[in-house]
Order: sequence, then structure tokens, then C-alpha cells
Amino acid sequence: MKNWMIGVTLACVLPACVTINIYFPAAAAEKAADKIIDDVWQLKNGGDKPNVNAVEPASTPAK
Amino acid sequence: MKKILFSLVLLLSALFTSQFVAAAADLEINTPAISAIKNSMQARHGQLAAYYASGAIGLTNDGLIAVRDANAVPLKDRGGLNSAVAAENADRNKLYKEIATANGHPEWQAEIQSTFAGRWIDKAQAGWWVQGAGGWVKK
Amino acid sequence: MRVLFHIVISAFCVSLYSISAYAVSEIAIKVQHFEHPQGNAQNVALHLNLSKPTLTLSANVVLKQKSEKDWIQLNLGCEIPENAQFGAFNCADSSLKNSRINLPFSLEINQLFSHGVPDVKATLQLKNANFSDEAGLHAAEKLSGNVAIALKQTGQVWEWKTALDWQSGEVFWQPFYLANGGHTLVANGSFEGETFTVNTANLNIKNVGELKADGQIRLTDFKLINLNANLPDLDLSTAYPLLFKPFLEKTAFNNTEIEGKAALSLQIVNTALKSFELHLKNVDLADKNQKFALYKLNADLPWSFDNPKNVSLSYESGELLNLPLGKTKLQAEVNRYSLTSPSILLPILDGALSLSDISAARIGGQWYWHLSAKLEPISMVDFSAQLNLPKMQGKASAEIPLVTYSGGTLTTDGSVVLHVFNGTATVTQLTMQTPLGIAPKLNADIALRNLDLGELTRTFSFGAIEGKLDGDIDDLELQNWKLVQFDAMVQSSPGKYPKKISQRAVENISALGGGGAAAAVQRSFLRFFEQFNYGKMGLSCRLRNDICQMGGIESTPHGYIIVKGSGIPAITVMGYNQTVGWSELLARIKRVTDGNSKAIVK
Repeated sequence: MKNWMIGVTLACVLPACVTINIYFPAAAAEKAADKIIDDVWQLKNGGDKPNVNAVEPASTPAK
Repeated sequence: MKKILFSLVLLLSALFTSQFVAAAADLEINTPAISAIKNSMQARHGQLAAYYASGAIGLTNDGLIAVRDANAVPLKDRGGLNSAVAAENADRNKLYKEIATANGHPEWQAEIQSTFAGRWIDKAQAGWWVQGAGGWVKK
Repeated sequence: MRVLFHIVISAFCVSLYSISAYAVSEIAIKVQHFEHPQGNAQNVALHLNLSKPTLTLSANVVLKQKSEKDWIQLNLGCEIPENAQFGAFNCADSSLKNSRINLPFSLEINQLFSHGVPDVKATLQLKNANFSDEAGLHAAEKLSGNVAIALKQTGQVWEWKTALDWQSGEVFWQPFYLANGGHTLVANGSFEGETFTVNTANLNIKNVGELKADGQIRLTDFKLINLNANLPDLDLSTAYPLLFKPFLEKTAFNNTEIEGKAALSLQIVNTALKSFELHLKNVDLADKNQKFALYKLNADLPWSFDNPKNVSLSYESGELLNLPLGKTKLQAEVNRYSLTSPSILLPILDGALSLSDISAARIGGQWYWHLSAKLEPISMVDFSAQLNLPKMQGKASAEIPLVTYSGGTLTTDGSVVLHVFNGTATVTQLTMQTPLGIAPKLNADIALRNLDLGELTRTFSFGAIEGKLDGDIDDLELQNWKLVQFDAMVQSSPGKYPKKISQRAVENISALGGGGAAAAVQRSFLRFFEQFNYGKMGLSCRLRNDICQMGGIESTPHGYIIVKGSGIPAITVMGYNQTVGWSELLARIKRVTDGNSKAIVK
């Protein structure tokens, strides 16, 4: 975590702040790897599913 | 002058927050392709688990698996051992590629693979063989 | 050649026992260490007993080849019949042993020389032998068998003859595995310098078939220089796991059940494959994952490096991704690494896939091909039944001027037109990746025109709606045959036609959003109406990462209109949620269409 903070600060102190680098999300990748490995090796039972909103159409009588 | 300074701080904080959001965001791993590969690997794991435990195969430091000592497996299963390892590695390579493309960055494949390499080895059970810098090591 | 013979003898001892005036009855020789460029020997103990009617020689030695890591113990116990000619002896109780090798054997040498030149005749018998290399990739267990060897020197040439009878035991010789004995080999030939020649070899693999071969092997790298091999009658059910499966691991044929007969002959000249001919006779093959199957397959597949050949193949029936394939006969010309055919007709259901101007080539281990395809109309009733879809009326046909396959991706240039629900669905920009692999991928754009909503809602039991529907589904992507991405907009077709929606359909649409809305209709006076008129309906969804960005035919400050009412009583269905979880939405649609009932209200 600290590394990218320093990276971002440096990038912005320098004039070349305009460049946008898509960096590799190491932490997210580790989290994804852990999730997949747990599934494949069945190390943990179940995981919480992300909550997603469902469609909510409503019918309203028009005149 | 104060105004400029203030806006700079604002810009910086805005950058920080956006960076933070990006860093905290999860990678997409719930595509049907990834699920299909995961299921295939999960089904194979029943067979591979015994091979890991006996030391017949081990986890390599590049996120794949390899035959380490085929002598730990009866002769009649050695052909099956080879094909299971080949199939597992094909799935693993495909998995790394799919995760990279599912997140819109095919160029991440190598980094994803090396991330996995570390995590497989970390999560390996005691007694399994893993490849260190100097060769095979028993966990 | 410079012969370096460096002998280190740290202890040398010859003991002569029972020395008397007339005889020496025993000789024992011990050498502790012996070095040679080829290898080392240790603890050499030779013991010759001269007192018995037959001479006995026992030798114990620890040997090591320079290239090997492990020492190996060799024990020989031999009898030398007194009256026999020189060089005939019988070593019955002998063995070769180390941590990975345990080879008990008996060696009977009948002759070593004749007329002053080497002329060996010997029989080696293995009894319950076990061995393995360090990696375990070449190993045998409980191996018993006989090998008869004859070896004769004539000038620079050695002539050899062997008969091998493998009686029992299992062998794994990467990548082959033989579970049991019963196999025999009879062969003869010669060797001279670096070339090992087989004049005739006759290998009989029990339950699999017979191999006749002749050829030459280069001894420096064990490469086949020349080979003529003929397997006239192979039983594929046993030959597949033994001979073919190890080579098909990375293909779609790695998990197949196969039955039938095959004949194979091949020629290698100057280390390169020159020609082969494969015949398949009444072969049934089926993928264990049910991706494909072919029954009563007969094929005549000749190939030659020098000349173009005609190949032909036919099958009675088959299956591809659950679609039945009808009786087919196809022919093509093979020219080294390319294949061409003017036309191939593959009957599918009541129609057929007609392929023409087919051209395929194998470059750098990958297949590339292109062809033009025409799908003769097939009935959607059969098609939907085969794929376990709701029964659909209509016909599917297609005309694709150019289909190309390269690097595992199938691309089409043209359109597949499905005549369904009294309208058309036109599929364009269709590409497919690894359709027979574990995670197949499909991309396409689909244009829907004038679909009959009446038939559509009946098919999917979703409450009756009358009207017509147009739609565009762009950037569609399926992974493992499941939807993962698209930009879709469907809405009422332009033009004049009856537009009616049943109360049931309104309830079902509302139920997709949860129970509240449906209940609202039930509570209001609207429950007395069976159906309502509508002016226009439409829905859009942009699916990414399992989230659907939704819209309707019109936007309102807080939502979007899905069904716009018209006449009296008019009913308008509004959507408020702009982002919707796709899996959850699918689950709700399934609940509605499956049960043809109200959604479960939580």
C-alpha cells in the first residue's frame, strides 16, 4: 500500500503528472487469487455473495 | 496564492481518493469462463490432492505444477499422473489469461500468474512439495 | 583412440588355498578400488572353486558408470561344466541391485566363440525384476521373461538375433504403460559403427495387435533414420489408451471412448516422415464429456510427403455439441501440409450444412482453414428440442461467404439468419474460440426484426403480450455458453398492428422487480381487466461485469418507461433501478417462466 502512495505523491510533485499509469492491482490480484485457490482447494466453505440490486419496475396507472 | 495552494491540495486529495478506490476495487473473477475453469480444476483436485501429499507432484514457482517424483505413484497411474499434470497446467494458464482479459488488461497475465504462484505456495498444506529458489522444498 | 587405463589398486590380494604339490583347489581375488574412464569398480571379489566336478565361479562387485550417481551391486554365481567347450557357462543365481534396481536373473551362455571369432549364443531370464530410473519415468515391476540373444562378428559387422518373451509384470516407459505380459518380439539385424539395423522385427502386443517393422537407428542419439512399420490389424479399444492417448493429451481427443479396427503403415526416410496410410474400419468414437461423437466411422487416410493423395471419410451418424449429425461421406485432397475439398455436405437434423471451397493448412503446429458455408433450413422445433430450449417454431438458415479458423478462433464474414417467431434474427460478426474446449467463447451481433410477441410469450410462458418486437443486441459475448456481455435494446416494431398486454404479463414484468408492484395491480381496480392496450414497449440493457445498466423507451426524472399505456384503461410500467444484478434478474425471470406463477415475495 505504502509503495503506491509514495509513487503517486512523487508523480504529482514532478511536472509529468499528466501521464496516467494503469498499475497492476497487486492487492486485488492477491485477493482474487486467494478466493479462487480457496474454491479450487475447497479450503473454506461458502463465501458472502456481493449484494446486487434487482430490477424494481413499478406499475403506475396512467389516466 | 492561498487559493492556488488550496486547489492543489484538493487536486491531490482527489487523486488520492480515486487511487484508493481503484486499489481497493476487486478484480472481476466471476465470469462463466473463469467459473468453468475453476470447476474443472476443482474436480481434478480430488485426484491431485493425493499426489501433492505423496510428493509425486509439487507446486512450481511459476504458478504451475510439475511431476517431482513419479516413483511415489503406482506404475499403472503414472500415465494418468502425467496427463493430470498437463491438464492442470493447461487450465492454470487459461485461468491466468481469462482473469487478465476479464479485467480488460490482457497484458496483466504474467503478473497475475506470478501473484498466483506465491499464493498457491503460501496456501499449500504442510507436507506438500513446493519449488523454492534452490529446488524442491517440503512444506 | 587414446586408451587411458588408470588403475588404482589400493589393496590387491590373491590367496591360494590348499596349496599342495599337485593342485590349487580355490582361487580368490580381491580388489578394493578400480578406476576406468568409463566407470569405477569397488570391492571386487572373485572366487573360483576348482575342487568340485564342475568349476564354480562367484563374483561380487560394486560398479558405477561415470555418468551415474549410484553404485550398483553385481553378483554372479556361475557353473562351468568341465567337459563343455570354452566359453559355455551357466550363471543361475545372479542379480543386479541398488536402491532403485532389483534384477534377479539367470544367464546361460552356450557359446562365446566359434572358429576364433566372437559368436555368442545366450539366454537371459529375468525373474520378478524391479527397476526404475530416478524420475520414475522408466520403470518396471515384477517383470519376468526370457530373452534369447545371438551375436556374431563378421569383419566390421555384428549380426544379431533376438527373441523376447515378456511373460508377466508391468512396465511404464514414458508415456506408455503396459499392464501385463503376454507380448513377444522376434527380431534380427546387424550393427556396424553407429548404425543399428533391424532387418525384420515382429512385435506382438497382446490384445492390441501385431507390428512388423524394419529400419535403422542411429546409436549416438537413438534417432530413427529409416523405418517401415506396418500395423495391419489394431484393436482401437485397447490401442487407444496404450498407443494414441499419450500423444493426444492436448487435443479434443484426449478423453474419448473408441472401438473398432484400424490399420496403419508408415515410412520414415532420412529421419523424416515420408508417408503413412491409416484405415479406420467401423469405428465408434465418443467424447466422455459429450462434446462430440461419431458412429460407424470409416476412413481411408493416405498421406505422402511427395505426392498429393485423396482422403475419404464417412460416418453413419454422430453428434456435435448435442446436435445430431446425419450420414455423411466426404472427400478431400491432401497435399503435404494442406487439405482442399470442393464441397462437403453435413446433414444436421432435417437440414444440412453445406461447406464449399474448403482449404486447410497446418503451419507451425497450428491449423488454419477457410471455407464458405450454407445452412440449408433446419427446423427450430427440432433444434430447440435438441438443445433443451423451449419449443420454438420456425426455421434457421444461414449463408456465410467466408468462415476462417486461425489460432483457435473461428471467424465468420456473413450472416446467419434465423426465421423465428414469425420474424427474423440475423446474427453477424460471429466469432468463436475453442468451441470444444473447456471455456468456449462466442461473440456476435444480433438484429431482431418483427418478432411476434404472441408466439414469443407463449413459448417462454410469460403471460400473453400481443405485438411485434425489434431489437439490436450488439457486442454480445458468451462464455461457456453463458451471457457475459451485450448492449441490447428491444422495442415495439414500427407500424400498425394490435398491441395488447395481459394483466398476467404486467404482473410478471412487475414481479421481476420484487413483489410490491404486482401487489399494487392486484389491490387496484385494474385487477378486473384481463388485458390492456399499450402504445409502445421497450427495454435496454447494457451488460458488463454481471451488472445490467437498464433503460426503457423513455426516460423520466427518476426512472424509465418500460410499457407506455394507451387508451382506457392505460397502464404504464416504470422502471426505477438503473443498475441491476444480472444473475439476480435471470433468477427472477426463471422463477416467473418456470413456475408460470408469481414470483416468490420475500
